[in-house]
Amino acid sequence: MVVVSTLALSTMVSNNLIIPYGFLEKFIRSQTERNERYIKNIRRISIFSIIIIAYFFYISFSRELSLYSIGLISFTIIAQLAPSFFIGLFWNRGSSKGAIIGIILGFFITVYTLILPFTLAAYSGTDDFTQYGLYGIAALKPYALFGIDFLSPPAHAFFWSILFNLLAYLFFSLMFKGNYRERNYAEMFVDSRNFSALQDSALVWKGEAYVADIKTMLVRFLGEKKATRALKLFFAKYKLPVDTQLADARLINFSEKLLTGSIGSASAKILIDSVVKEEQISLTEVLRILEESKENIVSNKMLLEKSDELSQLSSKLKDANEELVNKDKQKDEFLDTVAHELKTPITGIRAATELLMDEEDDMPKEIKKQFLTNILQDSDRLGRLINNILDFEKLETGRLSLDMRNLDIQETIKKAVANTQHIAAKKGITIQIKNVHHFEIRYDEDRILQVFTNLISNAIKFCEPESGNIEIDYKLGNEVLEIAVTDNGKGIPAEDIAYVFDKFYQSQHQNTIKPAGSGLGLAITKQIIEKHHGKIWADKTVKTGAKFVFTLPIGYIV
Amino acid sequence: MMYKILIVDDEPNIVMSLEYAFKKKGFEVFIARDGSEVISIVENTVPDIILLDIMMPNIDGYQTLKLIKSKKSLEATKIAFLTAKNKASDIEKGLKLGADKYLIKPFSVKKIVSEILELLE
Repeated sequence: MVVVSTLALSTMVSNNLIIPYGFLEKFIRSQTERNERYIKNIRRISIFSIIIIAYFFYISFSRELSLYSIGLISFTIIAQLAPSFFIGLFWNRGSSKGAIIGIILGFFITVYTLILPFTLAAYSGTDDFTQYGLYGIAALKPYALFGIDFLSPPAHAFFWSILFNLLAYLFFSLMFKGNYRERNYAEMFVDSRNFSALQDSALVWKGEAYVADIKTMLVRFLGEKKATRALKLFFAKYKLPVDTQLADARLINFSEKLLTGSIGSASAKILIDSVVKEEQISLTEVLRILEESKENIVSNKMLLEKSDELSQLSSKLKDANEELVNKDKQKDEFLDTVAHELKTPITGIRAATELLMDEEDDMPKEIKKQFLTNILQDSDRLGRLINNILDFEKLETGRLSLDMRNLDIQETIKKAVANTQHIAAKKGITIQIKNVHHFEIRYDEDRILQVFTNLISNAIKFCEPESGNIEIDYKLGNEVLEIAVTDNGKGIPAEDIAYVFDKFYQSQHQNTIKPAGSGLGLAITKQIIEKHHGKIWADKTVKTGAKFVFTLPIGYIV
Repeated sequence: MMYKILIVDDEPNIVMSLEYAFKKKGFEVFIARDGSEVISIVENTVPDIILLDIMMPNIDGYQTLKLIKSKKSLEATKIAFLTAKNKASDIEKGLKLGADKYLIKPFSVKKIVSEILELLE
């Protein structure tokens, strides 16, 4: 117990009193090994002195005083730390000057009211001092200062010392403002939650210190090997380049902690201060810097987000532009094709007319008739084409509104068959309606008639004359009416199935004699069905002929 | 002398007018509906002039021209496009491919005949 407390006490004395206030200058100037030796010696001497002092104390006072009263004296002295300590926890205005003056004042009062009386009594053998006070002034009686005589000596000493200590602490704290550093520390300490980040890896630190200086100092107290290793570890931990020139706050903190281990915190602080040229910054400034950096981070983040947004926007724009260019190209192609399709019958008409008009030419009657038939055919084709183009354009731009009514599909199919019957009959093709039941559903009759006409005409086109057969059937599907137009013609080549609904897509294998379709029939058909919220497809599974199937929703009400 | 003309077009009504007009001028007229038919015709005949449409199914006019150009027997044959494609870029493309004339639809039959005769003489 004695050994342990002696060791602890001697370390405290050497670290906090002797080294910082007596030998630091010397340490800074001399060699590492010598420093270590000095520190050891100082500790040894302190240990020895403490034991000697303790021994004399024991000889002089232990017979007069019980262990109990020594404890009370120690308590009163230690209690002097209380005002600055406890108030300092909550009051950031407390200054070190106030604390030191308060503690010294309290200590002297304790000495006067507690230690001096029994020391004097022990040496002089009289209690005059206690009885009459200093110079016989009653108010200065050590056990009854200013007439307060109802307290026991320890309580009395405690009362007065703490009172004066407290008043001095408050008074001097208010009188003298601590320097910026002290205030900063106080602020950080009192409001630690706000500044925890600041304390630990305070990047916000305005000051200048060279790594080399710090290293020299570390070497002096830790030795070359240890100092180098410590710095290496530090650089590795924060991922800093090894040849960093200027020290930052983290290195300062780190070095201070390192030094604290060997020479105590007070000495460490003084040493570090000696190599750091700190700029005087107040906490408000620190806060501002913090705020700024926070704002910077926030605005940085915003910038980043904005730039992300922008790049997204630009890629969207690019896509849109590409789409537009594509659309434009498609439009161009569409117009080109339309122009070509329009010019073809006009060319035929113009050429035939020119030939017919030539009065010098004695054209045979049959040829004349053929040319006239051609003109008629081309005119029909032209009219059909114009209608289709207008329909297609209306459907594609969504300008076409459907005239929805509740109608019997059976009747509509009959009408469609009646419309196409004459062409089919000419080619010797039969058209059959398989389902004979009536079924009411909602649709635009003109448009659905157009769908049937398109599909039936297509079927007629691809059927062999005389043996051709077209069947129209319908059945109930899942909430839809499924309608199929099937023929026994040559069918759709597999490679064309995906494109048959594209505008102006005419099969490469289409071997029919022109003039045939406009190239818009199926595209228009598809648009009409989709406008009715139905679907249309070419059935791939049929082995012979072609089968087009489309659906009309049963529950669809407009 | 009797010129041989090959008319390549998939529009029968147009072909019919041209055929009539050229026959009237004493041409021997051959007709192909697309590039593939051209190949089989030029196997046996060497036309003096080929009148070529561009927008045709299967093998279009441009491809047909390339096929014609690759045939040694057709070195002396003149080639004229007759098409509805009338953009400057189309015309440039057609002439670059080696056509001797670029004629545009719709056309005057008389003018076409005289242009072709001019080209041949």
